[in-house]
Amino acid sequence: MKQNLFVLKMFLLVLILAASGNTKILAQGIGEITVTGVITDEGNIPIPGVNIIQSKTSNGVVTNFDGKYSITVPQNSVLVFSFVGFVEQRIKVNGRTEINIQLVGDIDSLDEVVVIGYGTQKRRDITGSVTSVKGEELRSATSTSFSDALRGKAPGVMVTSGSGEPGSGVDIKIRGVSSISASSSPLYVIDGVPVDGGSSGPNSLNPLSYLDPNSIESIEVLKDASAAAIYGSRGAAGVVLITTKSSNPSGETTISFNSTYGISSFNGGYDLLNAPEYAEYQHIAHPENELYTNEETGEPIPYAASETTDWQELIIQDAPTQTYNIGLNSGNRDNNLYVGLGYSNTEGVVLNSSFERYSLALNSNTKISDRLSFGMRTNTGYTIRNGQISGIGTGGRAGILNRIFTSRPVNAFISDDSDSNYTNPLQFITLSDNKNFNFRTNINATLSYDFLDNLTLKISGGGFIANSKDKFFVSKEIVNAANLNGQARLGGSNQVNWLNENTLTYKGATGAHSIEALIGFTQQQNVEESFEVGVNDFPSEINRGDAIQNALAVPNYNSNKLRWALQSYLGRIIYSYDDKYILTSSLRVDGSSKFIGENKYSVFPAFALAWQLGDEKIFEDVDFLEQLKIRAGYGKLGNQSIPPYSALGRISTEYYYYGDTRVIAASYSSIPNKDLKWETSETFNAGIDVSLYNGRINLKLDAYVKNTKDLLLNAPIAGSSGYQTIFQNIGSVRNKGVELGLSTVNISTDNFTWSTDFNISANRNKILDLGSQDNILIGRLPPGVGVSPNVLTEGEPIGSFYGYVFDGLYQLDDFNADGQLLEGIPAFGSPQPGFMRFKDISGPDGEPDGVVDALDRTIIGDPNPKHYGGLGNKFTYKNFDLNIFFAWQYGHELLNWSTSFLSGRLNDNLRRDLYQNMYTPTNTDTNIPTYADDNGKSNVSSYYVEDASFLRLQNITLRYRLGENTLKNIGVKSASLGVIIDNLFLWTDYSGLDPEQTSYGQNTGTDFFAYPRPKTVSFNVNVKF
Amino acid sequence: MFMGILISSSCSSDFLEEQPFSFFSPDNLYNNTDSAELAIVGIYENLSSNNPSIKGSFNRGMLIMANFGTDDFTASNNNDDQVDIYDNYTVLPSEDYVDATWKNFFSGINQATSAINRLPDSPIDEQIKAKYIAEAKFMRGLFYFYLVRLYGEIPILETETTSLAETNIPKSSIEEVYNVIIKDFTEAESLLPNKESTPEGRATRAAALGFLSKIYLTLGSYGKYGSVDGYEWVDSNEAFSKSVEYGEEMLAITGYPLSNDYGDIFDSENSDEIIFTAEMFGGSGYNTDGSFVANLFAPKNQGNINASRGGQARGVPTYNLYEKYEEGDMRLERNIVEFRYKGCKEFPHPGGLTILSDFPHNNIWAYAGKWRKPCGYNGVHYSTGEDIPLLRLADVMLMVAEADAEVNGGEATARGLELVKMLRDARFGGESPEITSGNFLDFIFDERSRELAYEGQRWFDLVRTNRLVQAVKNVVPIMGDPLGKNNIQDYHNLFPIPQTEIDNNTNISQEDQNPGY
Repeated sequence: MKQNLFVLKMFLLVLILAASGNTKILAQGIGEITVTGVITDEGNIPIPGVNIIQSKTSNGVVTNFDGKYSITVPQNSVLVFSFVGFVEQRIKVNGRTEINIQLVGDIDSLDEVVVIGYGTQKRRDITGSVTSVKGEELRSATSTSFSDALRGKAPGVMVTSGSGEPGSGVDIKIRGVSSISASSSPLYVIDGVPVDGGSSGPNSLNPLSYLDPNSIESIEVLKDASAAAIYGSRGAAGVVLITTKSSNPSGETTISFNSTYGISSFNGGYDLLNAPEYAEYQHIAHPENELYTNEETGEPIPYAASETTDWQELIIQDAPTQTYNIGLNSGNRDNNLYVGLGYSNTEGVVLNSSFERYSLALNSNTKISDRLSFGMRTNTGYTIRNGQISGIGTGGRAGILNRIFTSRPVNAFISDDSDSNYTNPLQFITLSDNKNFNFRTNINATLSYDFLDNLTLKISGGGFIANSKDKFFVSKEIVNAANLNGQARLGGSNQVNWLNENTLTYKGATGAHSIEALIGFTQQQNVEESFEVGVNDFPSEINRGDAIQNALAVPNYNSNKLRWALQSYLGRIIYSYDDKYILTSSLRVDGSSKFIGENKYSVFPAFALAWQLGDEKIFEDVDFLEQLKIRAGYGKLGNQSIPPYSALGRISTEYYYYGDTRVIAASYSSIPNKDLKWETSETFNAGIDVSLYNGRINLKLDAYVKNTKDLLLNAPIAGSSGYQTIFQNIGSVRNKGVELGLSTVNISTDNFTWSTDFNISANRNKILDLGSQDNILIGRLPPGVGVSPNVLTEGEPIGSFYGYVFDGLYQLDDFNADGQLLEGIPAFGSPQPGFMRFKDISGPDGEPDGVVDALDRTIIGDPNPKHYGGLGNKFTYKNFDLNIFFAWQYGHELLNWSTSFLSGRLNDNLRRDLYQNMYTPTNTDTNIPTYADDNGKSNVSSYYVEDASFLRLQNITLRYRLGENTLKNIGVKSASLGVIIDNLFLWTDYSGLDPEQTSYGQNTGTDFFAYPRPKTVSFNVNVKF
Repeated sequence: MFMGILISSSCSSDFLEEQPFSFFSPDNLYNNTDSAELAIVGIYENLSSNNPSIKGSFNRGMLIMANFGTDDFTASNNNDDQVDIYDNYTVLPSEDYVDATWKNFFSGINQATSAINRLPDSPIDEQIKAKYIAEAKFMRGLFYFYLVRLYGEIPILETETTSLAETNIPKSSIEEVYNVIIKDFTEAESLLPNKESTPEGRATRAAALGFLSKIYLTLGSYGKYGSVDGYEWVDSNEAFSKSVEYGEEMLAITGYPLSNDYGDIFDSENSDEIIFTAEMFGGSGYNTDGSFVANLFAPKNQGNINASRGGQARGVPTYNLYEKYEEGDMRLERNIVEFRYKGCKEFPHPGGLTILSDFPHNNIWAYAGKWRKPCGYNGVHYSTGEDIPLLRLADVMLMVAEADAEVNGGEATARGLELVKMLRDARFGGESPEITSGNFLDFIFDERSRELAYEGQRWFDLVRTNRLVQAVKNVVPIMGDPLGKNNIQDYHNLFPIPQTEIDNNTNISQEDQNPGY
């Protein structure tokens, strides 16, 4: 009941506002004339789709393909001509019946409309920190997903991919990490439907990769609280608004066709040992092993006789990538339709890996009456991902890239048959499957009713349905599944997420005051069901994972159903005085099913002020000043992205066995925490927007402080309680930083233009408080190590590397004649000359104790960059366009864990440079530890921490637009040909394959055989009929 | 239209309530017999332990903590961090297995306590209810019994944990813990079923009696030999007598004959000699219901580490253990072998027993063969299905003989000699050699080694009789000089309280850590 009163009050408030505002009824009939004309650009080419609206009414038309329009208006009314990318013009009719207009291009139009969530706003009037990226910019890359293409394009938005594998997860962080256990992914809102970006674990599928980048019109990133607070409890990590293409209501029907074909290739690899060298190394390092040493003679087994097999050459290939898109545009201003059909197939540079997508976009608008209209947006995608995961794998050994690089450089062993179970990476790829099939459709339908000219009710219903299937198979020929006699797994999930939103918007102006008020009520529910069946023991494997009934054993099967729901009330007022002072204030009340009782509801307020300083009298004479705006905002945001039921006491089930009889056992897995509540972030943001010389120079500078408290932390509790962890609200984190975006038009002549876009961001992250915890270790390294490489410590950034401090190698001089370590030299394990030596920095009493053990671990690096950004240069010369885009990160470190596995392990190949420079009695002046598996290389230490700063030439696009005259004759409206090169050059000192990838589970900054981003050269054709 | 939406929102008072679909809640678990059965099974599950960690309990932690660092078994490689620290006595409170075992056993205690407290109000059949309560008490007593021996003073859960506020329980004295253990076992004993009506792995009356015998023997030994502080209240003579009493009561129960084939006890998994086990199940690459027993103990597999017979031999038998066997003892060939595996083939180990003369050397000299499996056994070396016996007939027989001798001033009794002879005759396949000379208690101790090697008994036996320090110092070096003998001190008779407990329990501070750590 309480909630309803609240809504009622808000409703009344708006009615009062509406009554006091301008409620002029549309004039009709009297003194009207019909105005016609042609709208052209600076080159006198007609512009279709230009909006012509009678000022302050909803009466309007759109130009047809020839740029012509016709509108009936009162004789003395004002017409507003607007089109994206051009300066808006307002013309008094004054009784004329023909008005021809030449629109002037605007590089960065201040009048451009920006989506802000539950509405739009002119860029000029925005009070918060919002970055807008046009869909056009995302399409220039051959990325399979928009999120990947966003890299370097928006200040404050850091994009890292776990893997360069086609279709893999991408991690987007807006203004740093502010959460530990809860997700730090932003909220994505696709055509008004909030969807969870999901955890973008590096080996997981990117849940938003179903969306064809070609169907995206624009992406707006709401970065500060004043902008994002309208999304309340889910906005703390920022909000990414994705708007898909809608029809261009020109009254004509157009069809466009776009296709790209390219070849991806692998950027280098490792220089590894050949067969004789490998045999020599293994014989020295593992003399007791009969694979390398003849048991009778003690001689090495002659691998020289065996030919070297170069797995990199056999498995890593040049791979084709192709995309096709057809877009249909039809209809007029009142009834229109956009249909987009797409297909893309990206093959990976690793054999048998690919990502395929079928997509359909269907957007329409219908005007039912003067006051009632209906719009619908749908996006559907079906994706198929195929390929072994890159970094980690299943069944004891790591994933495919690890196998490619570390597998012995011989195809089989010649000494005996004892090792017939050995699987080479090529066999692994051909005898196993790992596929994901994902169908997803996103729908939002809106009914919009204008009670009055300035009071609009919108009711929308929509949501998404996602259906996914995983298929996994490992043949018994492969060592991992040999003793299981073949293994398969089938899993699926089905997600139904519905949303209902109802908003009432009032727009009004009297004199110098203008106001836009919004109230709304929304609810969303998500129900997800999933299952998994694991089988093994296949008498025949002919059907692989396609017929799991061919397996005899079913050791694993489970299903799960979960639900969460949100109910929210929201309100926003944008008030502007004299177009100079703009106040935005919003409030959202969110209720979430994830919390209990009083904690279900929380209130998220925000305020922001903008002052158009440039419009003040003192700047009147400064001609070159187009805009000078200062902004300041404050807001509160929440984060509730923890699994549902985290606040409840749960009892799950496990198997137990009496003999071999399986029974079900109840397992007490969590204690209730009824005090659990939202994580709350408070953000202060201040910014300045400067636009000079008719928009030829645009600068946007923001500084922010974001304090997050009551972190949702799955924190450890006393084990004597019978439990290990419980979700609690503990601790706080601060992110602060600055962001700068600068775009300039450097040269603009008739035939040649040169423009530059530059952005740079710096964020500093610091854990302020961790409750009673000193150090919380997070992350996990591969099997055999079982240690956490990252740590949470007060005063340090989230995810700092934690381990030993490398201090060179133990030298012969460190030991006495009996091989005992000399007094005063700290021992780590049972060292020998050439083993890694670590610093003794602490002990049980907090003092160095002469022994290096777990107490001597400390912070050894920081995976967070000092700054990052992008630089794009765009040149046009006559019909040629050239775009060159660089992206960089500076000052971040990576834990290059691949090096540890390429340093020589039993039965594994190693890097030639490490082998050649290894410590030996004759080569002591080196930092590369000697033979022996236990030389310290399996410990996380500063030895593996590397500066991973890089500058990447991310994209070059060269496009040629065919001349209009040529095309007209063959019935084509426009056409272009292009060459696109992705990831052409990389400048870095990092010794791994890619300084940008991290690939191990939830670890921050660990590079463990990540799938590097390939270099791709592609050709593009774009034709419009 | 807008009003319509308002109405729809007012109907949805349940909209924001969480609706569990795929899990139980403690409030509905005991409402019927079927789900109560799951709850009881769940208590046992903490012995094999997917929950809370595969590292704890008899899956890994107990196998390492109770076998390495004894005079029967030692680490095979000086650079295996995970087991070395137990072998070398350099265990820190932050160590994984110390931590996981503590958590596993307390998880079991919490679940058992929940069942004991909730079942009385349950509507299920009274007879079944009584049996379930008895099983829960048996298991709770067992978890406490392991904990008190490993860690000394520990918290006692009066009620199940239902909120964050209840998670900071202070330590109780050792006496208080034993009071709970004895109360639980004695209350459970008469209500537990017999073997015939019980599935393998569930508590029986015989198991309760056997453990009561072990509990009293343990109490008597600690009281008499004083290896750990906090046992001063014990009347050792009375405890030894009770140990004999309960042990004899167990031995009087039929259905537990001695086997003629020692190896069969470990191969068959349902041998009549076994009274109570931690149940394991191996054989799948991605479940963790199996134990680490092959990985730790079984002979090495050459080449393919996942092959079906052997393991990783992260520990090997000591020369001390080898020396204890007499000629004709069939237990030797099961427990100490000089081969490893290539697939299913036995493959003589270079060196092997022939190099006995030149200790110390730098090679593995023999393997622990007890936990090897028949060829073709389905399992991976880090998840095998051998059930871990927690109580065997031979153990009870030797306990009665030992306790009886303790009551008798350290001298063998006729009953004791009879029991030992019965056991040895079976192990020698007929007439066993005479017990020649020396101290009977020492002999019993060697006999326990011969019989119960690598079954997680040795560390407990050495500690309760205060022999640990000397035994570790006496280990004949195998792989160079064992570090354990330099490090071991009296305080190692207890493991440290896990650091996570000290960090997170506001009622247990650094000062409450066991001495020495």
